[in-house]
Amino acid sequence: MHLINPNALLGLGLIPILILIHSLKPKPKQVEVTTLFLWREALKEKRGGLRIHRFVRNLPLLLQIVAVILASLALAKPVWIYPSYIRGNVILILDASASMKTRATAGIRFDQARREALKLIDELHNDNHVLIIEARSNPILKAPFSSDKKQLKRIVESIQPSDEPGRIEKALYLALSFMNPEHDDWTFLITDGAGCDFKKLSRIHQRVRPILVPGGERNVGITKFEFRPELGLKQSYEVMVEVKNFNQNPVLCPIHVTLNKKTIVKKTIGLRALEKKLLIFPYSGLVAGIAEAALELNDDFPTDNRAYAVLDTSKDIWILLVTKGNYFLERLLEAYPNFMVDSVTEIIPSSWEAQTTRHDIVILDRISPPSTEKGNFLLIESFSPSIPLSKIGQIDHPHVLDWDRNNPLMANLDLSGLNVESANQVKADRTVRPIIESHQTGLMYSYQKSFLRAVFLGFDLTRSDLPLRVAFPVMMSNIFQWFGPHKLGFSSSQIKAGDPFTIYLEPQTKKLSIRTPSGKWGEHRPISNPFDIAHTGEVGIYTVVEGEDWRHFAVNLLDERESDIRVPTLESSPQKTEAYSGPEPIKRELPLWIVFLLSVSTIVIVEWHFWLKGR
Amino acid sequence: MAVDYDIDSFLDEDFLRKLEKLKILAQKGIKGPIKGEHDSWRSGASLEFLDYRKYQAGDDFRYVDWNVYGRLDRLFIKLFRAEEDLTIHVLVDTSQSMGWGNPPKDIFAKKLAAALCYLGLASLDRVGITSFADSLGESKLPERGKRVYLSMLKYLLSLKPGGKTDLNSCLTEFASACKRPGIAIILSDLLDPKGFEKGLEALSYRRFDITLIQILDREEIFPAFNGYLTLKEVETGEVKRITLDRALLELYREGMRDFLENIKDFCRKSGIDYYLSNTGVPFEDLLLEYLTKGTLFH
Repeated sequence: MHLINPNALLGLGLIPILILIHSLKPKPKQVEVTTLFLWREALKEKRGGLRIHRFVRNLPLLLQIVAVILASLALAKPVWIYPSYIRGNVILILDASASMKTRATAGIRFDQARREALKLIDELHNDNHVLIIEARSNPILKAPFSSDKKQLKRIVESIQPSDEPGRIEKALYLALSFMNPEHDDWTFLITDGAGCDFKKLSRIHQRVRPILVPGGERNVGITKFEFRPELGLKQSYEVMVEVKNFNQNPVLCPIHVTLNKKTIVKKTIGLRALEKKLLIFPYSGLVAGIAEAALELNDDFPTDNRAYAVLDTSKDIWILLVTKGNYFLERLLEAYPNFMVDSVTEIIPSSWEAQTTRHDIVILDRISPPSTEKGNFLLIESFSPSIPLSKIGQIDHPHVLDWDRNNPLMANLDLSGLNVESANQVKADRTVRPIIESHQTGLMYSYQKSFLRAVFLGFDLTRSDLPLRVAFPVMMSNIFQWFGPHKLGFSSSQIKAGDPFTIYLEPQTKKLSIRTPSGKWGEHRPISNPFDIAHTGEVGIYTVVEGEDWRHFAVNLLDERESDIRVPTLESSPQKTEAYSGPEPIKRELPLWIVFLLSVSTIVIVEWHFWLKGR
Repeated sequence: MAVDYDIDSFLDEDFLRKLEKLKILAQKGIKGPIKGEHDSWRSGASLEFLDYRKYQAGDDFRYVDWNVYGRLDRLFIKLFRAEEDLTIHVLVDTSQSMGWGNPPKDIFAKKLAAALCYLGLASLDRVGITSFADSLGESKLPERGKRVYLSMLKYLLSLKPGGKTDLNSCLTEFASACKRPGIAIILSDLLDPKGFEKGLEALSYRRFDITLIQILDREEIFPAFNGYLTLKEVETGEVKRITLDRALLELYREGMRDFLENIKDFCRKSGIDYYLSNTGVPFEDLLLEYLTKGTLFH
């Protein structure tokens, strides 16, 4: 037993005072009796158990002395030191990044990591609480602190490695947030050390014990794969593939690039040890569909041997511009190569519906249209009966108060200091969403209902300095994107494994289905538009079905750090951690003050009870 | 703690009338020169025939059965049951301890002695009173007739508690000094650490018919005090400091129980009638209801 606050033992000084108080006796009461010999006999008989008698007579004093000793000890903060394998709680980080899929002697690295985790749980003391974090691109808390070993082992066995690049540091910081320095908690990091600065991570905290799982070293991987159009040349593209040899030996690497299963490039390149090569191949022709780059070799880490891209060529977008003349708007629309603009000066109501149906976007500049239930409309100082928004006045020099910075229409925009000479004061229904606001009225609104999408600008572009600002083309681009993003220019839909993929949905879409590269279908009910697909932990082509519309996007590893599957040696870490050989026994402190305090209470209650009984 | 009583309040007449109805019977034949109301197995001059025996020289010819002589030609003397008187010795303990109690034990003892004297005198017996403490006190010699009762009461009232108790020496001295053994009624608390057995044995040896009446106060059997005490013995003034708790009180009660049991055993073995009286019990009730069930009164 160890005393944290030994000064409290000064309380033992109360013992002599207690003895003094007990030695004080009251003046005896004198009683006359006819004889003493019977009393003497009784006393003699009582003295037969003299030791017990003395003990019983002095029991209150003894109990009070014991209570004082225990109370002093309680104040001295006693702790019981006993050997334990782990002090405090244990946080277990299990690396489930792509590199853990590296082939090892027996199975993959993750299999060995899982075995280590199970072994660790087995070796822990029964009162150790364990928290499990799965380390992927974002850490996942798999199990809160628990001492239920069966449950913990079940959770460990349920974890599967992903194709995501690992962000061990994120998982470590999360683990550190759970560590209580007073309880001497420990974090065990079971990883291969790939994809992170292991040396730096080892320095983060003294109570982080890394357990490295080796196995598999040979890897050549694709670190970049892109299609890009050549400027000024129609249907001319460049295919960029970056390949790196992560071995210490040179390799010959056959590369095969296909588009919709048709070979574009097939070539073998030589790579020296740790050499990285950026290859660019020209391609002419229609680019649409699924492109795949593959390294046709058998190394220990196949995940980065393939990369995918979903390509979509630009389509013509038909714009109906109704204006009496707007220089800035016309020049802007001309800048979009695939915008086909029909410009009219007035509206013919009889053919209005047919006109709007033929065009993807209708821009009305200071000319109000008749009622329309379908289409994408940009209304500049124009009022449509289909949109619950009406003019109630005019405001001169409105000052921009704020704008909805989270709205996709306002992405990357700065409208501070915007000068507007005059703006319409409007009254809007609740279904109309304000985007830019001034003190007196909204300057820009968006509206969305069934098949109708509209953006309303409450002022004349030509009577403001907006067209002269950088914000103008950005804002217009955002507006066009919001109207129909899938048709804007050439796109290559690919993301890194683990990153969310943003998909723009039709307004009427209530549900969509997603198929993973391994063929698993999942149904989603989007609660926002655009909708983020978060579960992208598998490398390959994902299929999104939205009504009758099928779309694809590609998920790749394309992470040079993750592809570097070489396992750092433990000797290289600053702590010179030796190979893990199970938890070492350490001393553990159990606070005892509560036990002493309870004992004092018990003694006081017992003495009080006997005092009442003896009265 | 002595209390002064006058004769009128000491025994009222109603009580005395009740006592007259009682008759003292001795359990054994006691010799006496004067004929009383008690039978004796000694042959005597009463009218009740007892037995025959051969004539011996010197016998009174008036008791020869001449009818038998006529038939058998031999002289036989007729024997008749003799009617003899009884001497009752009332021995009253007047030690200091008898002055203790509520009411004091000596008052109780004197009332009891007065009642016994009256009964004895009413039965034409000789009744004497002797007080004792550490030695025999002044005695009221045995006398007969109710006329002496007043003087006996005065004598009893004059007795004051004082001195230590020495039962053995007092009773032994009485046994050797008494010329006419008879019924000895001893009234004492028997609280003598030196014991009482030898004294009683001396009385038995002198063929006294002994009745032992032990008088104790309820407080002596069941003390009602506790705590830190100085016990002072009333006879010796000796003090003892004790802490009286439940355990000690229980031991005292056990000791008292054993003490009384020993007295009872001794008396049973020695053929002594033993009674234990508590001063808390009304004196009249004790005498009329309790003692009539015993062997003293019939």
